[in-house]
Amino acid sequence: MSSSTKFLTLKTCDDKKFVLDEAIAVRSQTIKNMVEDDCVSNVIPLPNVNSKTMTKVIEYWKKHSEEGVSKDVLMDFDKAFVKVHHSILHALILAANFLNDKEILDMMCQEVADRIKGKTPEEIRKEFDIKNDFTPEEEEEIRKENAWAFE
Amino acid sequence: MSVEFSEDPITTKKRLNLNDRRAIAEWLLKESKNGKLKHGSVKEASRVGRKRIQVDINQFKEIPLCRRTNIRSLSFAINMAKSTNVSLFGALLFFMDMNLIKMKQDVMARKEKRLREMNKRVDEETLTIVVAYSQESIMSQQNIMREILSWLPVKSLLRFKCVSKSWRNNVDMKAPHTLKKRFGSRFRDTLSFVHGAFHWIPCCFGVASFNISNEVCTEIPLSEQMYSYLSLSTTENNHVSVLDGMLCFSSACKVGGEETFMLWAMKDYGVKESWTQIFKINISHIRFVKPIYRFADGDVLFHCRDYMHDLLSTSKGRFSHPLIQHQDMVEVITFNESLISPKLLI
Repeated sequence: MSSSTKFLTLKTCDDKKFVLDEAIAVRSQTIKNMVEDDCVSNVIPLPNVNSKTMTKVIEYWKKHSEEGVSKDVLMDFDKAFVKVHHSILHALILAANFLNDKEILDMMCQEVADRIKGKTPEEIRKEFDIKNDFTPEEEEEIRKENAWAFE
Repeated sequence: MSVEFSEDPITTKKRLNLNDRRAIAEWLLKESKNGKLKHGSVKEASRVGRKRIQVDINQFKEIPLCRRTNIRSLSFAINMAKSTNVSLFGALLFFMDMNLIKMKQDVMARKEKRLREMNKRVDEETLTIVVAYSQESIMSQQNIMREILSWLPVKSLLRFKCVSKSWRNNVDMKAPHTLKKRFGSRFRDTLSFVHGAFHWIPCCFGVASFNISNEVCTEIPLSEQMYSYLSLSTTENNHVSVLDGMLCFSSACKVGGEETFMLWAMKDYGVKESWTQIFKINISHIRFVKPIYRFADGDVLFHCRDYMHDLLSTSKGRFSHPLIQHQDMVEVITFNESLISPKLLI
């Protein structure tokens, strides 16, 4: 076993290249699979991750790979990490899904859930631009069934 | 030479029409030199021998996920015989509905490997695209949506049922799982009854309650401090109890190598911010602590269990001799004499 660090080059969809320590990059199950199968001869293309999102992901990976960081510091970091505009949040979820990093994905999904949990159905429709495809009767029915949820 | 497919791909070989035959003949003639064909040109004429087919990789992306469930339906969707080409078969594997594969990551890794072996002929760029696309559908948008929904409290979840039909379906798909995660009990504790509702510790953090007047299950959230404290603990020994008419949450856990017992009370029922810490006691060798009763002077009676005995103890010290040895099941219940009918409490 050689102890020298191996570096991987990741290329995002906007043609930016990121050189990253392999030990950090394998936090992504997708990249890990590729490395294990020996198909990372030169550059790993990430066709549906842009550089802005990748920067965030790498920032997270690096922080969580640092040694001797206390749990409190990491928790504060995570808290600050998820405080981003919802467009970035959305991009991060897709990226985490593509990279298959359950840790980031869970954190992001939880954040989205936290952001929407107090909202009314009307606010949800407005926020996500969803068309209400219920008839007024159908909607009334569901509201009645779950009346306590609307209190 | 590219090949266009007619209606029935499997039988095209046998049903060449005149024009096709002429086209092939002309092409072969053109390829021939001094009456002899160049090596491989018969094969390239593609109606003879094994077919070499070029597939537009993007074509697969257009196919709806529901038609990617198996090779047959997929090959039918792109109008191609399923046995057409071995390397194509590999690609087909890849565009099948990856949701199935998401459940078993190892299966996917194997398929990926197989594809690579099969696809040696395909140039590297195409392969990269194939791998990238296959990965893309590790989890479909809808599954991400369900993932997000699984983090929502039940109340919000049910409220969002009336956002739209697709949200309703997602919630209905998610609900049984979520409900179990939220309301399934982890301990065989007796239920604590206060404010017309039973309370217990569900599988996830927090307190679950069941209101007996409207028969509704809800969650009682813990305060931020409690969540952050409990997330540090390595052992889980949490209980809900009722002391002085207040809903209480207790935890005996190891935090930073120290065994500590914490007791919080919810001063205003249902108000998340009203959780107040009542006790913090250092303990040792205790496997189980459950508050039983709060005396008028504020002292609390606990039911504890160490490795040998069940015993009763107060915050000041041991209350009684060990009750029973060898960890037999013991349940301690307080009894208050009262003239009020239990029915009036509801």
